[in-house]
Amino acid sequence: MSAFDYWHTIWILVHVLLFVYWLGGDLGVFYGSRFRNSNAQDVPTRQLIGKITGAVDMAPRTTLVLMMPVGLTLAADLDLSPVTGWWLGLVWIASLAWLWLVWRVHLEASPERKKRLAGFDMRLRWLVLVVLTVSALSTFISGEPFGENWLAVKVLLYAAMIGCGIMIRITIKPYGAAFQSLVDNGSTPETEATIQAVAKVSRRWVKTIWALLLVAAWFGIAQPNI
Amino acid sequence: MEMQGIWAFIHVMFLVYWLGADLGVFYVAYQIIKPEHSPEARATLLKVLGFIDGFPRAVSIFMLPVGIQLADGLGLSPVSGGMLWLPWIAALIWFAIAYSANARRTTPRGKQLAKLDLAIRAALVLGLGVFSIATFVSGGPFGANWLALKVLCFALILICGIGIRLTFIPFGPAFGRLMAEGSTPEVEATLKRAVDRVVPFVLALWFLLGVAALIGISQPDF
Repeated sequence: MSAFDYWHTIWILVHVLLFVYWLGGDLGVFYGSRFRNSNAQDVPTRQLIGKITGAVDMAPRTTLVLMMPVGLTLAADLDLSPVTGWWLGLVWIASLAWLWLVWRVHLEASPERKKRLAGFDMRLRWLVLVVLTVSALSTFISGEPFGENWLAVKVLLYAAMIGCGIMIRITIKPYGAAFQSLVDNGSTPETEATIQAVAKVSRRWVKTIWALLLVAAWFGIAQPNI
Repeated sequence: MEMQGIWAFIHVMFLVYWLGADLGVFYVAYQIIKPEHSPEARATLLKVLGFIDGFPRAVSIFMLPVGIQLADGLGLSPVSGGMLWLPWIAALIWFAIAYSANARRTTPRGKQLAKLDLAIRAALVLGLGVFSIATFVSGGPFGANWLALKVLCFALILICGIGIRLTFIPFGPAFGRLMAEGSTPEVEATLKRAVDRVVPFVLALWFLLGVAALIGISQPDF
C-alpha cells in the first residue's frame, strides 16, 4: 500500500466514524428528549435527562464541525478541491477554533457569556452556510471550485444541515425559559404546551437533518457521475 | 454495481446504529450507576438505555447476511446465487430468538432463549473462526484474506458480546433490589462493579469494529 493509499484510507475511516457518531449519537438524544419533555416524569428526572441528552448531543455537534475539514481533506486527496496545502491547514485551524467555540458554549456557566458565545457561533454558521452554498452552486454552473458535481451536492447538503441546525436554534429559543419555569414553579399547562410545541417543530428539523445525512452518505458511497 | 452500492450503504448504516448508538448506551449506563440520582430517574434512564441498546442488538445480527451479500457482490463469498436467502433466514430466526430472550428476560422461557442465543453465538465464534483461519492457511472458503480477517474480527466481536452478557448478569437483580428496597451500599457496589467489568469488553468491541471498518475500506491485499 502506498503512502497515499494509507493516509487516504485513514481519512475515509475518520470520515465514516464522524458519520457514525453524528447519526448514531443523535439516536440517544432524540429518544431521551421524549422523557425530558414528558410531564409523566418528575422535574428532577427531566432535568437529569436534559443534562444527559445535552452531553450526548455534543457527539453530533462535534462531528458536524469536524466533518468540514475532514471532507475537504478527502476532496483534496482526490484532486477535487482547490483548498489544498496551506489553505487546507487554515481550514483545519479555523475548524478547530470553531470546535473550541462550540465546546465553550456548551460548558460556559455564565448565561450572559454563553449567550454572547452562542451568538458568535450562530454568525459563524451563517457564514459557513453562505460560503458553501455559493461554492456548490458555482460548481453546478461553471465546474468550479469543486471538481465533481457529486461532491458539490454533498457540500450543498452539508450547508443545508447547518441551515437546519440554525432553524433548531431559532425554534428552541422559548424552550429555555419554559424549562426554567418548570424547574422554578413546577409543571403548568402553559409551560408544558410551550415545551411540546417547541419539541414538535425541532423534531421536524432533526428528522430533516437525518434525511439529508442519509442522502449525503449515499452520494459519498456511490459518487455518481452527474 | 447498483445493488452493491445499496448493500454498502446499508453496511455503513448498520455500523452507524451499532457503534454510534453504543455511545449513548455507554454514557447512560454510567449515569444509571450514580447513587445521587433518584431511583425513579434511574428507572427512566434504564428505559432510555434499553431502547437505544435495541439498535446495536439488532444490527449486529443482520450485519452478517449484509456482509455476505457484499462479499458475494465481490465474488468472494462461499455462499452465493440461490443460496443467498439462507443467511437471511438464519439471521431472522436468530434475531427472533435474541429479541424474545431480551423481551422476556425475567421469565424462565426468556432465560432458556437467552441460553439458546448464547449457544448460537458460541457456535458462530467457532465456525467463523475456523473458516477465517482456514482461508489464511488454504485460501478458502473466503475468496480474500482481508475478508477472512474481517470475519475473524466479527468472531472476536461476538466473544466481546458474550463477555458483556456474562459479566453484566448481576446488574438486573441488583437493579430490581434498588427499585424494591432503595439504595444500599451493597446494591450500589454491585451495579458499579457490573458496569466497570463490562468496560474492557465494550472498549475492545469498539476497537475491533474500527479495525473491521478499516479493513473494509482499504481491502488490503495480503
